[in-house]
Amino acid sequence: MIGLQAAPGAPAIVRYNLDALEQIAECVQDGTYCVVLGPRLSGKTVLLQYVEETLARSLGWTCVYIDLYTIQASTLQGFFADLIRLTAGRIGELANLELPVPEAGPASSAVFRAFLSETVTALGRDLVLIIEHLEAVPADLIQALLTSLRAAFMDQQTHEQRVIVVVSGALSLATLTVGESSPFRGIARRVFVGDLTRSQSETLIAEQLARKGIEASKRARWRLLQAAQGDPYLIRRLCQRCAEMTGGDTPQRLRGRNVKGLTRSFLQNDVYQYAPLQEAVRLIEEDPDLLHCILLLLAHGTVLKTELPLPLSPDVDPLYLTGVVEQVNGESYRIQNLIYHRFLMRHFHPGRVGYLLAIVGRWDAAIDYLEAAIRGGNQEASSDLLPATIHSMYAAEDLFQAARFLTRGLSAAFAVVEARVWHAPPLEERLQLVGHLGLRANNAPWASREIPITADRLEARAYRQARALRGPEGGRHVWRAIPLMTPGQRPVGVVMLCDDLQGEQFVAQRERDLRLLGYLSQAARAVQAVSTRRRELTLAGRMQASLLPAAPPEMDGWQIAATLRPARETSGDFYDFIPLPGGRLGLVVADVTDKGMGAALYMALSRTLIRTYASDYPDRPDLALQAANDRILADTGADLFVTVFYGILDPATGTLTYCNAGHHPPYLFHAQGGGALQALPGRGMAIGMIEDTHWGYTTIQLDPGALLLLYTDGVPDAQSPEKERFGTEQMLDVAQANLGRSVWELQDDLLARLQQFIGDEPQFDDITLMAVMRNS
Amino acid sequence: MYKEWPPLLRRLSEDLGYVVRAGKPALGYELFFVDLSFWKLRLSNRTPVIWVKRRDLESTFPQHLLQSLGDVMRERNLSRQIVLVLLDGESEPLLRHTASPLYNLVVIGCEEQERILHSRRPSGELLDLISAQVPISTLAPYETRAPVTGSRFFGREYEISRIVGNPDTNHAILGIRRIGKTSLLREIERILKESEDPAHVVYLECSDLLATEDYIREVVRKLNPRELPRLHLQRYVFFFPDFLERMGRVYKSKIIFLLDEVDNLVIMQRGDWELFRMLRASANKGACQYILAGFREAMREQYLLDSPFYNFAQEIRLSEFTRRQAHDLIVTPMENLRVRIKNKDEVVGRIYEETAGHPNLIQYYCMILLRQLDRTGQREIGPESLIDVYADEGFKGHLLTSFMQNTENREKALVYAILLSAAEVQSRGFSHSFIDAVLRKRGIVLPQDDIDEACNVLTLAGVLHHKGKEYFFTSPVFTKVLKQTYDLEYLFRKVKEEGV
Repeated sequence: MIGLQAAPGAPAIVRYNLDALEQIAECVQDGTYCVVLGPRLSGKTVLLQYVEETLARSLGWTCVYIDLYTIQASTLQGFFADLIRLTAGRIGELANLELPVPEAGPASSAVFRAFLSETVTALGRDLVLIIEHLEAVPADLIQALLTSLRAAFMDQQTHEQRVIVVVSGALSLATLTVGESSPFRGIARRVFVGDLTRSQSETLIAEQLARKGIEASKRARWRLLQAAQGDPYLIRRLCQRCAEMTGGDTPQRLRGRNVKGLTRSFLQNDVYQYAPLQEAVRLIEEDPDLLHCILLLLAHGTVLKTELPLPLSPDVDPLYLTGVVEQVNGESYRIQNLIYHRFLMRHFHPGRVGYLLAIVGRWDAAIDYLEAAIRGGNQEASSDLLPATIHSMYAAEDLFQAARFLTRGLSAAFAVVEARVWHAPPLEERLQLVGHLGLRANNAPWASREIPITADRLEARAYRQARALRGPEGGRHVWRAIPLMTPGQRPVGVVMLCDDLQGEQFVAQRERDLRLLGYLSQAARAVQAVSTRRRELTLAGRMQASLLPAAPPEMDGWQIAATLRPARETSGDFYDFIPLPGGRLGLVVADVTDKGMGAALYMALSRTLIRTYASDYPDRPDLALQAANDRILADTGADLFVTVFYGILDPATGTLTYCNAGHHPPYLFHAQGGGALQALPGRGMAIGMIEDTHWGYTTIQLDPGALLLLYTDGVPDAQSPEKERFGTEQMLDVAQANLGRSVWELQDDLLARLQQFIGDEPQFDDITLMAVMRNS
Repeated sequence: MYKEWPPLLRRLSEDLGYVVRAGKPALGYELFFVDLSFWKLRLSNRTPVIWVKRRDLESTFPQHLLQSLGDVMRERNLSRQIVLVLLDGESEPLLRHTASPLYNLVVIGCEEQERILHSRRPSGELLDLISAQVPISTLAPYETRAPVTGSRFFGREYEISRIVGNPDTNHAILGIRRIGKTSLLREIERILKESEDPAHVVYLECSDLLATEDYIREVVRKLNPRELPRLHLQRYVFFFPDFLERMGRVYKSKIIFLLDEVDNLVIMQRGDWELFRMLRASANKGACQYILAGFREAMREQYLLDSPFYNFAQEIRLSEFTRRQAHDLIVTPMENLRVRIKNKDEVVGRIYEETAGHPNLIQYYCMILLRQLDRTGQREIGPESLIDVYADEGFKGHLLTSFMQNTENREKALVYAILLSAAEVQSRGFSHSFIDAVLRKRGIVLPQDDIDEACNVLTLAGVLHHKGKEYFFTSPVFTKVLKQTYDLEYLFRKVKEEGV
């Protein structure tokens, strides 16, 4: 070791960071790089200047300290040119050496590296280069600097003399300096400084008070500790304020209430100028998950790591990097001190949180917070809430969800207590209730969910006349029906809402009305967009369903059942029965590897082509699939493919000639041997992947009593609410238990078991089942 | 000349064949360098030896002598090395003051020198002495932060012989971060420089050479710095080819360029490829040979027909160690450090499995074991002393960092999606179409080529391996640690949000 120790007169910050000092010394000794990180104002400068002084003056190292705040250049070339001149100047002073400084003018990172290499050669010994305040330069320049220093590190490994680099910056630079994609990753050791433990905080408070000649009560010390624990600069600053406040007393006496007043004053006047908190706020506001964690900590005090929705990496802990959070017993987190806590509570009020979440598109959560802000009296939040609800409506899955966002907007921003949202499906002479607000929602006369547009009701009249109508006045409340209008078209629906007639002046009410109409006009467009989208999907789903066989064919001596349950309106799965010459029957089960409209179109194409080529090759399922494959690849540019099981069943003989193109293996339960099981695995890949694919075919025998079970991956991959998988084994167990019963009973049982397993979880994949049994 | 050497060095040199060289005296002390590299420890081929003669000891307090030795080490820049001090007196007083590891000094007094001189195993005796004074974790050759060569370099025999044995071919060493590309380049540099017919070898770290100008300036600086001042007067396309040919004539040999970290250079050159066309031309003329090292970008260019990279260099993929190489990396240094390994096969097998044969991880693992031995003073390891990797935060962190560092969002998404799917699939293996399906299930649709490339990178990174069409996770430890440490649903959402 090189003996970098804290001398008796060393600054307090050095004494409180002995570990850091030791780690920096080890790096210098080993010739490795070091990254010193700490919150702003945590004393890094004092520590590094102490390191420089000790290394250079006491231990004879050539050590140079560079403060990046002294570099003003904003271009990359100017930055490196300044850095070279600055470094050369410092080394020149220290070593009384004229260095090979590149000619004046712009430089590059490579020139800087070359300069360092030539400098150590000229020095004939190692050079310790301390670069401080990385935060003073833009992030891309930091990246260029670190890349250059990394290159120097790799370059010098076979050299006798080296540059040993210690860089330092604010905690927020951790990702850039030691994160997984940092140039320093793997070559530099990271050293954190600045945090004080509780006992160190107590000692520092005692030292500071003693130095200023302040006699403090136990309560005052406790309050100081609560207010500023862990933050050395904050402790010193509060103690300084204490000294200023008690300046008249001799001896100076400090009481608990004095500290309380000082804390309040700091929170009122100084906190927004306090750099560590500014930095913390910036970090937290940039990451909604980090924000969520901080909100949990503010709400609950101490929270277990496992309950925080952030991956707390063993590497760079994002919560720690905010500088306002401390670990408790290694398992939990809490906000470090009272000042941080109060400031963050005040700063992250619901309105701000809602606004931040809206920026990143987390609409639901954003609306929650914005509503809370409005309830809390912050009416300005409504200017954020209304756009948030409109955006959410556009992103809604269906009209019911869109209507829910609309009613939330009405309630929070316009204080509407009761409302109904009616949608008018195109080409249908009715209004359909898609959303409501208010306690009486399900009471008569509002309980009806549909009304004809010809009905003599306020909402139907407003719809027909395409203008807002008011209900009879007479009490405090009045109902109004406002059509959801888009220019030049019929209304897409009607909003009925209940207005409070009292409490507002005419002008204010009129202003509110105008805002309301503007809002509903935007909402109408969103409702129309969602409605159109849903209609197209439903239509596509119906078209697609019409491509499926209306019913399985009936054949003597055979039972056939088939079903398809799409996860959405349209499906990527399909099954088919293809009549073939000689009374044979083609059985197809297939799965396009996607869902939605694209998959549906791909499915339609695949189904048509397989049908076409099945007639061309009535004996060879492999050739039929091969031809379909080539045609699909030739005709489509989609990055989709389809797994297919295609079998040709001869009902007379019970033979099944099949080809499996990458599909999940169907299972054959033989009649003999108590239902012995045989998988019919695939050969090769799915259709639509590679041209000129050859699959081959296999022929098997289905004896009387045999059962063939075909399915798509939606069956084994179905998930329970606990995220468990249904699995192939369970599917086969159900089938096994139903051997001897009809295929329809088997199908019903299997679907029932699946439904039971899935519970309330949304079905995420299409489910297709086909069962073929030869009667005994 | 040997007369002025200490008897121990004479014996090592004359009788035992060690290479010993006298150095320039420092602060009045005789300085020597002895080659101890073949012990395969941290001792280099220039291990410094300071000779403290009897007269230097007279009326000198041990602490003063120690200060004096410290000055020698600073003056000669020896602080990072293990330094042998041959003392013409008793070692005990000095050793008392070096009890705290103030410097990496090994003090060998008269008595110990005599013992070595008369021993039937003098090398062994010397090594015993060194390992008794220097912590074995310091003495070990393992290095996880910086590239290594010579005695500290292990494995890669095939790759070295392919490169060294084909002097007319350019080579592109492709591999993930920390797999040992730089070490391999440095080792090749050493071998070429020490060969009987030494070539002129230039190692260039290219990560910050982002413009043609930077590259050329760096080459000129390495080959003939006197031409630097008038470099800006030249037009590169004319100057540089001519310069390389002139330098070939000056050095009377082909110039071999070892270009490390070429990925950034590739990114910046995309478009006109002016520099790479010049490199290609110089290689075709036979003036230069290029051995490049890179990862993602270099790998991509290798297969693009219109890239100057295409067919420019023979690809050498650097993947994880074989079991035998891992065995050598674990066992050889341990034996040289006098550490006994109980149930060697089991120990090596477990380390190999838990590190997936990744040399950096193996070394990290071995360092943890050696630090444990330093703490306890024991010199034996067995299966029971292997670290609990699931509990060791350091190892876990290193393992995960390696994954995070070497993968982009697309590859990460793929791994998370597979791990979030059924456990049975993970152990059984998974096909290309399964990968596509699990990604689609979670709302990510990738073209086939992208999935191919992601699988390729993950295979190179040692995360996946494949048998036929099926892929498997290479290390069960990695997947378990990843699941244990992170909320994979969250990570998946995050990479999806950031974009794949």
